[in-house]
Amino acid sequence: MTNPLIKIYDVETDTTTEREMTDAEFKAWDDGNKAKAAKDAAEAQAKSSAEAKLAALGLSVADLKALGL
Amino acid sequence: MPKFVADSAQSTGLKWAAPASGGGLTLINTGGTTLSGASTSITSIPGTYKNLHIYIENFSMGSNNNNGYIQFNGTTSDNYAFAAQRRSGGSSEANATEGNNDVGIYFISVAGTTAEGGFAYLLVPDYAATNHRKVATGVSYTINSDPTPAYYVMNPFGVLQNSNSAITSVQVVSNGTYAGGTVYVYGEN
Repeated sequence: MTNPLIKIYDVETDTTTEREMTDAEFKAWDDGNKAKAAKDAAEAQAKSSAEAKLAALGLSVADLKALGL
Repeated sequence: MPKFVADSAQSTGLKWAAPASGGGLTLINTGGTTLSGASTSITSIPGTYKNLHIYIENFSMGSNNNNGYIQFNGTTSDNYAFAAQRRSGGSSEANATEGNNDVGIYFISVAGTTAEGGFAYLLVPDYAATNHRKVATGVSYTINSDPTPAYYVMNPFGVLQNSNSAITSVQVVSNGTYAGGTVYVYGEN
């Protein structure tokens, strides 16, 4: 399997290089993307949970916004 | 452009004068750099300017759920904190988001759709300094095509990068790929 492509433009030499990520670059890129995906999923879960608690109280997000919260 | 300034030595009390130097933008990456693949990097940015202005024009993503983010000096994990306000035209909601220890400055964050034809602007003041951490502020929008009809998402943001190093390179990255777009990096004195 090939690694994703990256492009590098060097201002000093006015040259553009396109190549595959090295394995180290790929690991850093992949780790970061997985961390972001996990964070987004946790936030979505927390939001969904909070909305369910509000609904149980007969409230909605729109109600909170109406109060300026 | 010349302008009128006060001068008591003139019979009219005014004279034409050249404007003070500074304030102009100089394109650093000649002609702009087309976005492609997972990452496009502008390197060897000179430290001779006061501020950087980054324009990412007409960007589009390769497929659903591809986000977009910017990094400085290729630094990745645990390096950026941000506060953002996400305004989605489709659901008419404004969501405040914030994060810490992020891998980049997210100017597109989509779920279940493909961002197309967007624009992003980022200002990085005093980017070459080495005596303080870096801050940046900007705004972006995307056109998200799914579900139809397409809707716009606007995203203003502020960022702190946990580094005192002078910024010498800028990366425009995605968790997937870019299908198009051009990044322009300007220096301002």
